[in-house]
Amino acid sequence: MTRLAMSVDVDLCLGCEACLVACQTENELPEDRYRLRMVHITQGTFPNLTGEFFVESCYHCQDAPCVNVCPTGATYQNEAGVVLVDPTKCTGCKACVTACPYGMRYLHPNGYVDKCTLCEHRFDVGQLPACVETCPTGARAFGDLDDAADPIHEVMNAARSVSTATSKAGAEPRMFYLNATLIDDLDQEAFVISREET
Amino acid sequence: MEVDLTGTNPESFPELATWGWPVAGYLFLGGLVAGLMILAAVLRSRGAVYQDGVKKADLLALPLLVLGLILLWVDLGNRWNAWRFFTTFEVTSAMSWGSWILLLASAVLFVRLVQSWVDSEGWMPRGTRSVFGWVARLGQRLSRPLDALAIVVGTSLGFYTGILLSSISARPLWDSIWLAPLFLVSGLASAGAFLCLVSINETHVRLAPFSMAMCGVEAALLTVYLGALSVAGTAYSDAAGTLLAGSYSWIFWGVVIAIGLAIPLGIEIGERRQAIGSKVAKSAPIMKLGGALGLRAVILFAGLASML
Repeated sequence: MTRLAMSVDVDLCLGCEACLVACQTENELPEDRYRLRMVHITQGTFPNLTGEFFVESCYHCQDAPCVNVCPTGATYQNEAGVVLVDPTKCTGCKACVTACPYGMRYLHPNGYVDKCTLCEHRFDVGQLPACVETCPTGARAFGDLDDAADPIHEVMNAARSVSTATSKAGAEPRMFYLNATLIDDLDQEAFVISREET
Repeated sequence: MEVDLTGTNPESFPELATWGWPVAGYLFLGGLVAGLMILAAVLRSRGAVYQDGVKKADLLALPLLVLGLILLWVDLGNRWNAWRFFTTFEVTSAMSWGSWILLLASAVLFVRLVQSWVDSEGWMPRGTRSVFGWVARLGQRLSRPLDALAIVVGTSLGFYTGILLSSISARPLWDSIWLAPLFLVSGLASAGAFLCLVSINETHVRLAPFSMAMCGVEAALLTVYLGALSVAGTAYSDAAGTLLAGSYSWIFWGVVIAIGLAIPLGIEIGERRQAIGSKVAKSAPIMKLGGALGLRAVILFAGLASML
Protein backbone atom coordinates (compact mmCIF):
# COMPACT_ATOMS: atom_id res chain seq x y z
CA MET A 1 0.00 0.00 0.00
CA THR A 2 0.98 3.59 -0.55
CA ARG A 3 -0.14 6.37 1.80
CA LEU A 4 1.07 9.71 0.56
CA ALA A 5 1.39 12.57 3.05
CA MET A 6 3.11 15.90 3.54
CA SER A 7 4.87 17.53 6.48
CA VAL A 8 5.86 21.13 7.17
CA ASP A 9 8.65 21.98 9.60
CA VAL A 10 7.30 25.09 11.31
CA ASP A 11 10.83 25.89 12.60
CA LEU A 12 12.04 26.26 9.02
CA CYS A 13 9.01 27.98 7.47
CA LEU A 14 9.70 31.67 6.77
CA GLY A 15 6.17 32.52 5.73
CA CYS A 16 7.50 33.70 2.35
CA GLU A 17 4.43 32.22 0.60
CA ALA A 18 6.49 30.93 -2.30
CA CYS A 19 4.49 27.71 -1.93
CA LEU A 20 1.22 29.58 -2.52
CA VAL A 21 2.60 31.18 -5.67
CA ALA A 22 4.15 27.93 -6.91
CA CYS A 23 0.83 26.14 -6.39
CA GLN A 24 -1.10 28.83 -8.23
CA THR A 25 1.35 28.81 -11.13
CA GLU A 26 1.74 25.04 -11.42
CA ASN A 27 -1.99 24.41 -11.29
CA GLU A 28 -2.98 27.50 -13.32
CA LEU A 29 -5.35 28.73 -10.63
CA PRO A 30 -7.38 31.92 -10.95
CA GLU A 31 -5.66 34.94 -9.35
CA ASP A 32 -8.06 35.16 -6.42
CA ARG A 33 -8.35 31.47 -5.60
CA TYR A 34 -5.94 29.37 -3.53
CA ARG A 35 -5.38 25.74 -2.70
CA LEU A 36 -3.08 26.69 0.19
CA ARG A 37 -3.73 29.03 3.09
CA MET A 38 -0.94 30.65 5.12
CA VAL A 39 -1.64 31.34 8.78
CA HIS A 40 0.65 33.97 10.36
CA ILE A 41 0.69 33.90 14.15
CA THR A 42 2.26 36.69 16.17
CA GLN A 43 2.53 36.69 19.94
CA GLY A 44 3.85 39.18 22.50
CA THR A 45 4.20 42.95 22.71
CA PHE A 46 6.56 44.97 20.52
CA PRO A 47 9.55 44.68 20.54
CA ASN A 48 9.33 41.28 22.22
CA LEU A 49 7.47 39.43 19.49
CA THR A 50 7.54 35.81 18.46
CA GLY A 51 5.95 34.43 15.36
CA GLU A 52 5.13 31.22 13.59
CA PHE A 53 3.67 30.29 10.22
CA PHE A 54 1.77 27.27 9.22
CA VAL A 55 0.40 26.42 5.86
CA GLU A 56 -2.93 24.71 5.51
CA SER A 57 -4.14 22.80 2.49
CA CYS A 58 -6.41 19.82 1.95
CA TYR A 59 -5.48 17.37 4.71
CA HIS A 60 -6.33 14.34 2.54
CA CYS A 61 -8.21 12.93 5.52
CA GLN A 62 -8.28 9.21 6.13
CA ASP A 63 -12.10 9.20 6.36
CA ALA A 64 -12.81 12.25 4.22
CA PRO A 65 -16.31 13.74 4.76
CA CYS A 66 -16.11 15.41 1.33
CA VAL A 67 -15.87 12.01 -0.38
CA ASN A 68 -18.91 10.68 1.47
CA VAL A 69 -21.25 13.53 0.50
CA CYS A 70 -20.38 13.74 -3.20
CA PRO A 71 -23.51 12.74 -5.17
CA THR A 72 -21.77 11.92 -8.46
CA GLY A 73 -18.55 10.25 -7.34
CA ALA A 74 -16.56 13.25 -8.65
CA THR A 75 -14.72 13.48 -5.31
CA TYR A 76 -12.85 10.28 -4.59
CA GLN A 77 -9.83 8.95 -2.76
CA ASN A 78 -7.24 7.16 -4.88
CA GLU A 79 -5.26 4.09 -3.83
CA ALA A 80 -2.54 6.27 -2.29
CA GLY A 81 -5.09 8.00 -0.06
CA VAL A 82 -5.03 11.25 -2.03
CA VAL A 83 -8.44 12.97 -2.17
CA LEU A 84 -9.09 14.15 -5.72
CA VAL A 85 -11.85 15.79 -7.76
CA ASP A 86 -12.74 14.73 -11.30
CA PRO A 87 -13.90 18.04 -12.85
CA THR A 88 -15.72 16.22 -15.66
CA LYS A 89 -18.04 14.58 -13.12
CA CYS A 90 -18.39 17.54 -10.74
CA THR A 91 -21.72 19.38 -10.84
CA GLY A 92 -20.54 22.21 -8.58
CA CYS A 93 -23.26 21.37 -6.05
CA LYS A 94 -20.86 22.47 -3.27
CA ALA A 95 -21.87 19.71 -0.85
CA CYS A 96 -18.17 18.85 -0.42
CA VAL A 97 -17.21 22.50 0.21
CA THR A 98 -19.85 22.56 2.94
CA ALA A 99 -18.78 19.20 4.36
CA CYS A 100 -15.07 20.02 4.66
CA PRO A 101 -14.58 21.00 8.32
CA TYR A 102 -11.34 22.81 7.45
CA GLY A 103 -12.62 25.05 4.63
CA MET A 104 -10.03 23.78 2.17
CA ARG A 105 -12.19 23.58 -0.96
CA TYR A 106 -13.46 26.29 -3.26
CA LEU A 107 -15.55 26.65 -6.38
CA HIS A 108 -13.36 27.21 -9.43
CA PRO A 109 -14.74 29.90 -11.78
CA ASN A 110 -15.14 27.13 -14.38
CA GLY A 111 -17.87 25.62 -12.20
CA TYR A 112 -16.17 22.65 -10.55
CA VAL A 113 -14.83 22.33 -7.02
CA ASP A 114 -11.07 22.52 -6.69
CA LYS A 115 -8.51 21.72 -3.98
CA CYS A 116 -4.97 20.48 -3.37
CA THR A 117 -4.15 17.30 -5.31
CA LEU A 118 -0.66 16.89 -3.83
CA CYS A 119 0.32 17.65 -7.46
CA GLU A 120 -0.67 14.13 -8.44
CA HIS A 121 0.22 14.89 -12.07
CA ARG A 122 3.83 15.60 -11.03
CA PHE A 123 4.07 12.59 -8.74
CA ASP A 124 3.06 10.38 -11.64
CA VAL A 125 6.21 11.48 -13.52
CA GLY A 126 8.52 11.23 -10.51
CA GLN A 127 8.46 14.90 -9.48
CA LEU A 128 7.70 16.41 -6.08
CA PRO A 129 4.64 18.63 -5.52
CA ALA A 130 5.31 22.21 -6.67
CA CYS A 131 5.11 23.61 -3.13
CA VAL A 132 7.68 21.11 -1.84
CA GLU A 133 10.07 21.71 -4.72
CA THR A 134 9.79 25.51 -4.41
CA CYS A 135 10.24 25.86 -0.63
CA PRO A 136 13.51 27.79 -0.22
CA THR A 137 14.25 26.40 3.26
CA GLY A 138 13.24 22.81 2.65
CA ALA A 139 10.51 23.09 5.29
CA ARG A 140 8.22 20.79 3.37
CA ALA A 141 8.62 17.04 2.97
CA PHE A 142 6.50 14.65 0.95
CA GLY A 143 6.47 10.90 0.87
CA ASP A 144 4.88 7.53 1.52
CA LEU A 145 3.97 6.82 5.14
CA ASP A 146 3.74 3.11 4.41
CA ASP A 147 7.28 2.94 3.04
CA ALA A 148 9.68 2.73 6.00
CA ALA A 149 12.59 3.72 3.74
CA ASP A 150 10.92 6.95 2.57
CA PRO A 151 12.84 10.08 3.67
CA ILE A 152 9.66 11.60 5.16
CA HIS A 153 10.08 9.24 8.12
CA GLU A 154 13.58 10.55 8.78
CA VAL A 155 12.28 14.13 8.80
CA MET A 156 9.38 13.30 11.10
CA ASN A 157 11.46 11.19 13.47
CA ALA A 158 14.00 14.00 13.87
CA ALA A 159 11.33 16.52 14.87
CA ARG A 160 10.82 17.58 18.50
CA SER A 161 7.05 17.35 18.04
CA VAL A 162 4.56 16.30 15.40
CA SER A 163 1.14 17.97 15.25
CA THR A 164 -1.88 17.39 13.07
CA ALA A 165 -5.07 19.36 12.70
CA THR A 166 -7.68 18.17 15.18
CA SER A 167 -9.94 15.49 13.76
CA LYS A 168 -13.37 16.93 13.07
CA ALA A 169 -16.55 15.39 11.67
CA GLY A 170 -14.87 11.98 11.76
CA ALA A 171 -12.06 13.08 9.44
CA GLU A 172 -8.51 12.06 10.22
CA PRO A 173 -6.26 14.74 8.72
CA ARG A 174 -2.99 13.58 7.19
CA MET A 175 -0.72 16.59 7.14
CA PHE A 176 1.95 16.96 9.77
CA TYR A 177 3.34 20.09 11.37
CA LEU A 178 6.79 19.57 12.86
CA ASN A 179 8.29 21.51 15.79
CA ALA A 180 5.26 23.78 16.21
CA THR A 181 4.88 25.72 19.46
CA LEU A 182 2.60 28.74 19.06
CA ILE A 183 0.10 26.78 16.97
CA ASP A 184 -0.88 24.93 20.13
CA ASP A 185 -1.84 28.19 21.83
CA LEU A 186 -4.27 29.26 19.15
CA ASP A 187 -7.63 29.75 20.74
CA GLN A 188 -9.57 29.81 17.49
CA GLU A 189 -11.22 26.45 17.25
CA ALA A 190 -10.59 26.30 13.51
CA PHE A 191 -6.89 25.96 14.12
CA VAL A 192 -6.78 23.79 17.21
CA ILE A 193 -4.04 21.31 16.64
CA SER A 194 -3.44 18.08 18.50
CA ARG A 195 0.21 17.69 19.33
CA GLU A 196 2.36 14.70 20.06
CA GLU A 197 5.84 15.00 21.55
CA THR A 198 8.34 12.68 19.88
CA MET B 1 -1.97 36.65 19.89
CA GLU B 2 -2.64 37.94 16.41
CA VAL B 3 -3.58 35.74 13.47
CA ASP B 4 -3.41 36.86 9.84
CA LEU B 5 -4.35 34.77 6.87
CA THR B 6 -3.26 34.73 3.24
CA GLY B 7 -4.86 32.55 0.59
CA THR B 8 -8.48 32.57 1.70
CA ASN B 9 -11.21 31.72 -0.76
CA PRO B 10 -14.36 33.81 -0.39
CA GLU B 11 -16.79 30.89 -0.49
CA SER B 12 -15.10 28.85 2.19
CA PHE B 13 -13.30 31.14 4.62
CA PRO B 14 -13.79 32.71 7.14
CA GLU B 15 -17.48 31.90 6.71
CA LEU B 16 -19.03 29.46 4.30
CA ALA B 17 -20.99 31.11 1.50
CA THR B 18 -21.75 28.06 -0.56
CA TRP B 19 -25.53 27.78 -0.59
CA GLY B 20 -27.74 30.83 -0.96
CA TRP B 21 -31.42 31.71 -1.36
CA PRO B 22 -32.03 29.30 -4.27
CA VAL B 23 -31.20 26.37 -1.96
CA ALA B 24 -33.39 27.81 0.83
CA GLY B 25 -36.19 28.16 -1.74
CA TYR B 26 -35.67 24.60 -2.91
CA LEU B 27 -35.75 23.22 0.65
CA PHE B 28 -39.02 25.07 1.21
CA LEU B 29 -40.60 23.91 -2.06
CA GLY B 30 -39.34 20.34 -1.55
CA GLY B 31 -41.00 20.23 1.87
CA LEU B 32 -44.19 21.82 0.54
CA VAL B 33 -44.44 19.32 -2.31
CA ALA B 34 -43.71 16.43 0.07
CA GLY B 35 -46.60 17.63 2.25
CA LEU B 36 -48.89 18.05 -0.78
CA MET B 37 -48.13 14.49 -1.96
CA ILE B 38 -48.94 13.02 1.44
CA LEU B 39 -52.03 15.16 2.03
CA ALA B 40 -53.49 14.53 -1.44
CA ALA B 41 -52.96 10.78 -1.06
CA VAL B 42 -54.61 10.71 2.37
CA LEU B 43 -57.53 13.02 1.47
CA ARG B 44 -58.38 11.44 -1.91
CA SER B 45 -60.71 8.90 -0.30
CA ARG B 46 -61.99 11.22 2.45
CA GLY B 47 -65.15 12.68 0.97
CA ALA B 48 -66.23 15.36 -1.46
CA VAL B 49 -65.37 18.33 0.73
CA TYR B 50 -61.66 17.65 0.30
CA GLN B 51 -61.69 16.94 -3.44
CA ASP B 52 -61.12 20.55 -4.47
CA GLY B 53 -57.96 20.55 -2.33
CA VAL B 54 -56.84 17.18 -3.75
CA LYS B 55 -57.33 18.44 -7.29
CA LYS B 56 -55.37 21.61 -6.60
CA ALA B 57 -52.58 19.54 -5.04
CA ASP B 58 -52.51 17.22 -8.08
CA LEU B 59 -52.35 20.17 -10.46
CA LEU B 60 -49.83 22.32 -8.61
CA ALA B 61 -47.42 19.91 -6.88
CA LEU B 62 -45.38 19.05 -9.99
CA PRO B 63 -44.99 22.68 -11.17
CA LEU B 64 -43.88 23.61 -7.64
CA LEU B 65 -41.38 20.74 -7.62
CA VAL B 66 -40.08 21.77 -11.04
CA LEU B 67 -39.66 25.32 -9.73
CA GLY B 68 -37.65 23.91 -6.81
CA LEU B 69 -35.50 21.86 -9.17
CA ILE B 70 -34.86 24.94 -11.30
CA LEU B 71 -33.67 26.74 -8.15
CA LEU B 72 -31.33 23.81 -7.39
CA TRP B 73 -30.07 23.82 -10.94
CA VAL B 74 -29.44 27.57 -10.85
CA ASP B 75 -27.27 27.05 -7.74
CA LEU B 76 -25.00 24.50 -9.43
CA GLY B 77 -21.55 25.67 -10.44
CA ASN B 78 -21.49 23.33 -13.42
CA ARG B 79 -25.12 23.31 -14.60
CA TRP B 80 -24.53 21.31 -17.77
CA ASN B 81 -23.22 18.43 -15.66
CA ALA B 82 -26.54 18.06 -13.79
CA TRP B 83 -27.28 14.84 -15.69
CA ARG B 84 -24.42 13.27 -13.74
CA PHE B 85 -26.75 12.98 -10.73
CA PHE B 86 -28.60 10.26 -12.61
CA THR B 87 -25.69 8.19 -13.86
CA THR B 88 -24.69 6.86 -10.46
CA PHE B 89 -25.99 6.07 -7.01
CA GLU B 90 -23.63 7.02 -4.20
CA VAL B 91 -24.92 5.26 -1.12
CA THR B 92 -23.19 7.56 1.42
CA SER B 93 -24.39 10.76 -0.25
CA ALA B 94 -27.73 12.21 0.90
CA MET B 95 -27.84 14.32 -2.26
CA SER B 96 -27.55 11.20 -4.41
CA TRP B 97 -30.48 9.60 -2.55
CA GLY B 98 -32.37 12.87 -2.97
CA SER B 99 -31.80 12.97 -6.72
CA TRP B 100 -33.43 9.59 -7.18
CA ILE B 101 -36.26 10.41 -4.74
CA LEU B 102 -36.96 13.60 -6.70
CA LEU B 103 -37.07 11.64 -9.95
CA LEU B 104 -39.53 9.15 -8.46
CA ALA B 105 -41.63 11.97 -6.98
CA SER B 106 -41.71 13.70 -10.37
CA ALA B 107 -42.98 10.51 -12.02
CA VAL B 108 -45.79 10.04 -9.46
CA LEU B 109 -46.77 13.71 -9.63
CA PHE B 110 -46.73 13.66 -13.44
CA VAL B 111 -49.33 10.89 -13.53
CA ARG B 112 -51.54 12.77 -11.04
CA LEU B 113 -51.14 16.07 -12.91
CA VAL B 114 -52.11 14.52 -16.24
CA GLN B 115 -55.01 12.64 -14.67
CA SER B 116 -56.34 15.80 -13.06
CA TRP B 117 -55.82 17.81 -16.26
CA VAL B 118 -57.62 15.27 -18.42
CA ASP B 119 -60.49 15.07 -15.89
CA SER B 120 -60.92 18.81 -15.99
CA GLU B 121 -60.83 18.69 -19.82
CA GLY B 122 -57.98 21.17 -19.99
CA TRP B 123 -56.33 22.15 -23.27
CA MET B 124 -53.91 19.64 -24.73
CA PRO B 125 -51.61 19.93 -27.73
CA ARG B 126 -52.84 18.16 -30.86
CA GLY B 127 -51.71 14.57 -30.99
CA THR B 128 -51.03 14.25 -27.27
CA ARG B 129 -54.60 13.45 -26.25
CA SER B 130 -54.20 9.69 -26.66
CA VAL B 131 -50.91 9.58 -24.72
CA PHE B 132 -52.24 11.75 -21.92
CA GLY B 133 -55.47 9.75 -21.91
CA TRP B 134 -53.47 6.57 -21.43
CA VAL B 135 -51.52 8.14 -18.53
CA ALA B 136 -54.80 9.36 -16.97
CA ARG B 137 -56.34 5.88 -17.23
CA LEU B 138 -53.20 4.43 -15.67
CA GLY B 139 -53.60 6.89 -12.78
CA GLN B 140 -57.23 5.88 -12.31
CA ARG B 141 -56.51 2.17 -12.49
CA LEU B 142 -53.56 2.34 -10.10
CA SER B 143 -55.02 5.02 -7.86
CA ARG B 144 -54.58 3.20 -4.56
CA PRO B 145 -51.04 1.89 -5.18
CA LEU B 146 -50.14 5.36 -6.48
CA ASP B 147 -51.41 6.96 -3.28
CA ALA B 148 -49.46 4.47 -1.18
CA LEU B 149 -46.37 5.22 -3.25
CA ALA B 150 -47.03 8.97 -2.92
CA ILE B 151 -47.09 8.67 0.87
CA VAL B 152 -43.79 6.75 0.91
CA VAL B 153 -42.08 9.03 -1.63
CA GLY B 154 -43.54 12.19 -0.06
CA THR B 155 -42.30 11.16 3.38
CA SER B 156 -38.89 10.33 1.93
CA LEU B 157 -38.77 13.70 0.16
CA GLY B 158 -39.76 15.58 3.32
CA PHE B 159 -37.16 13.73 5.37
CA TYR B 160 -34.57 14.18 2.63
CA THR B 161 -34.76 17.98 2.75
CA GLY B 162 -33.62 17.73 6.38
CA ILE B 163 -31.17 14.86 5.90
CA LEU B 164 -29.42 16.81 3.12
CA LEU B 165 -28.29 19.20 5.85
CA SER B 166 -28.03 16.84 8.82
CA SER B 167 -25.70 14.48 6.93
CA ILE B 168 -23.08 17.24 6.91
CA SER B 169 -21.63 16.85 10.38
CA ALA B 170 -19.04 19.59 9.88
CA ARG B 171 -21.84 22.12 10.51
CA PRO B 172 -22.97 21.72 14.13
CA LEU B 173 -26.34 23.44 13.65
CA TRP B 174 -27.28 20.79 11.09
CA ASP B 175 -25.79 17.82 12.90
CA SER B 176 -29.05 16.67 14.51
CA ILE B 177 -31.45 13.78 13.99
CA TRP B 178 -34.34 16.18 14.68
CA LEU B 179 -33.84 18.23 11.54
CA ALA B 180 -35.41 15.66 9.19
CA PRO B 181 -38.68 15.23 11.17
CA LEU B 182 -38.81 18.99 11.72
CA PHE B 183 -38.63 19.69 7.98
CA LEU B 184 -41.16 16.93 7.20
CA VAL B 185 -43.69 18.27 9.70
CA SER B 186 -43.07 21.83 8.54
CA GLY B 187 -43.70 20.58 4.99
CA LEU B 188 -47.02 19.06 6.06
CA ALA B 189 -48.00 22.32 7.82
CA SER B 190 -47.02 24.26 4.69
CA ALA B 191 -49.05 21.93 2.48
CA GLY B 192 -52.09 22.38 4.73
CA ALA B 193 -51.65 26.14 4.63
CA PHE B 194 -51.15 26.11 0.86
CA LEU B 195 -54.34 24.12 0.27
CA CYS B 196 -56.23 26.45 2.63
CA LEU B 197 -55.04 29.32 0.46
CA VAL B 198 -55.88 27.93 -2.98
CA SER B 199 -58.96 25.83 -2.22
CA ILE B 200 -62.62 26.70 -1.81
CA ASN B 201 -63.69 27.97 1.59
CA GLU B 202 -65.09 24.62 2.79
CA THR B 203 -61.74 22.91 2.31
CA HIS B 204 -60.06 25.81 4.05
CA VAL B 205 -62.31 25.41 7.09
CA ARG B 206 -61.62 21.66 7.22
CA LEU B 207 -57.86 21.89 6.69
CA ALA B 208 -57.06 24.89 8.91
CA PRO B 209 -57.12 22.83 12.16
CA PHE B 210 -54.81 20.24 10.56
CA SER B 211 -52.34 22.90 9.50
CA MET B 212 -52.45 24.46 12.96
CA ALA B 213 -51.91 21.06 14.62
CA MET B 214 -48.87 20.51 12.39
CA CYS B 215 -47.60 23.95 13.39
CA GLY B 216 -47.94 22.85 17.02
CA VAL B 217 -45.91 19.69 16.35
CA GLU B 218 -43.40 21.83 14.45
CA ALA B 219 -43.03 24.14 17.46
CA ALA B 220 -42.50 21.11 19.73
CA LEU B 221 -39.88 19.65 17.36
CA LEU B 222 -38.13 23.02 17.13
CA THR B 223 -37.92 23.08 20.93
CA VAL B 224 -36.51 19.54 21.07
CA TYR B 225 -34.07 20.26 18.20
CA LEU B 226 -32.66 23.41 19.79
CA GLY B 227 -32.74 21.89 23.28
CA ALA B 228 -30.75 18.84 22.12
CA LEU B 229 -28.18 21.10 20.43
CA SER B 230 -27.88 23.26 23.54
CA VAL B 231 -26.67 20.32 25.62
CA ALA B 232 -24.53 18.64 22.93
CA GLY B 233 -21.31 20.58 23.49
CA THR B 234 -19.86 24.05 23.00
CA ALA B 235 -19.90 24.18 19.19
CA TYR B 236 -23.49 22.92 19.12
CA SER B 237 -24.82 25.20 21.85
CA ASP B 238 -23.05 28.16 20.21
CA ALA B 239 -24.74 27.25 16.93
CA ALA B 240 -28.17 27.07 18.62
CA GLY B 241 -27.35 30.38 20.32
CA THR B 242 -27.02 32.17 16.97
CA LEU B 243 -30.69 31.35 16.36
CA LEU B 244 -31.96 32.11 19.84
CA ALA B 245 -30.00 35.22 20.72
CA GLY B 246 -27.34 35.79 18.07
CA SER B 247 -27.09 37.31 14.65
CA TYR B 248 -29.92 35.22 13.17
CA SER B 249 -32.31 35.61 16.09
CA TRP B 250 -34.38 38.34 14.40
CA ILE B 251 -35.28 35.94 11.55
CA PHE B 252 -35.90 33.10 13.98
CA TRP B 253 -38.11 35.00 16.42
CA GLY B 254 -39.57 37.49 13.94
CA VAL B 255 -40.23 35.35 10.86
CA VAL B 256 -40.27 31.71 12.01
CA ILE B 257 -41.95 32.06 15.40
CA ALA B 258 -44.02 35.27 15.22
CA ILE B 259 -45.06 35.43 11.54
CA GLY B 260 -44.92 31.68 10.88
CA LEU B 261 -46.51 30.29 14.02
CA ALA B 262 -47.83 32.68 16.70
CA ILE B 263 -49.75 35.27 14.63
CA PRO B 264 -51.42 32.68 12.34
CA LEU B 265 -52.44 30.73 15.45
CA GLY B 266 -54.00 33.90 16.89
CA ILE B 267 -55.83 34.59 13.62
CA GLU B 268 -57.19 31.05 13.38
CA ILE B 269 -58.40 31.14 16.96
CA GLY B 270 -59.99 34.52 16.29
CA GLU B 271 -61.69 33.12 13.18
CA ARG B 272 -63.05 30.14 15.11
CA ARG B 273 -64.51 32.51 17.68
CA GLN B 274 -65.84 34.60 14.81
CA ALA B 275 -63.90 37.61 16.05
CA ILE B 276 -61.97 37.85 12.78
CA GLY B 277 -63.41 37.97 9.27
CA SER B 278 -62.59 35.44 6.56
CA LYS B 279 -60.58 37.99 4.54
CA VAL B 280 -58.17 38.52 7.44
CA ALA B 281 -58.18 34.76 8.05
CA LYS B 282 -56.82 34.20 4.53
CA SER B 283 -53.61 35.93 5.62
CA ALA B 284 -52.84 33.15 8.14
CA PRO B 285 -51.77 30.55 5.54
CA ILE B 286 -49.66 33.15 3.72
CA MET B 287 -47.85 33.90 6.97
CA LYS B 288 -47.39 30.21 7.69
CA LEU B 289 -45.80 29.71 4.28
CA GLY B 290 -43.53 32.71 4.90
CA GLY B 291 -42.53 31.21 8.24
CA ALA B 292 -41.74 27.85 6.61
CA LEU B 293 -39.47 29.56 4.06
CA GLY B 294 -37.89 31.55 6.91
CA LEU B 295 -37.25 28.32 8.85
CA ARG B 296 -35.32 26.79 5.92
CA ALA B 297 -33.43 30.03 5.30
CA VAL B 298 -32.41 30.63 8.91
CA ILE B 299 -31.28 27.05 9.49
CA LEU B 300 -29.42 27.03 6.16
CA PHE B 301 -27.60 30.33 6.66
CA ALA B 302 -26.92 30.01 10.39
CA GLY B 303 -25.74 26.44 9.74
CA LEU B 304 -23.25 27.58 7.11
CA ALA B 305 -21.87 30.05 9.65
CA SER B 306 -21.54 27.41 12.38
CA MET B 307 -18.19 25.67 12.82
CA LEU B 308 -16.94 22.67 14.74
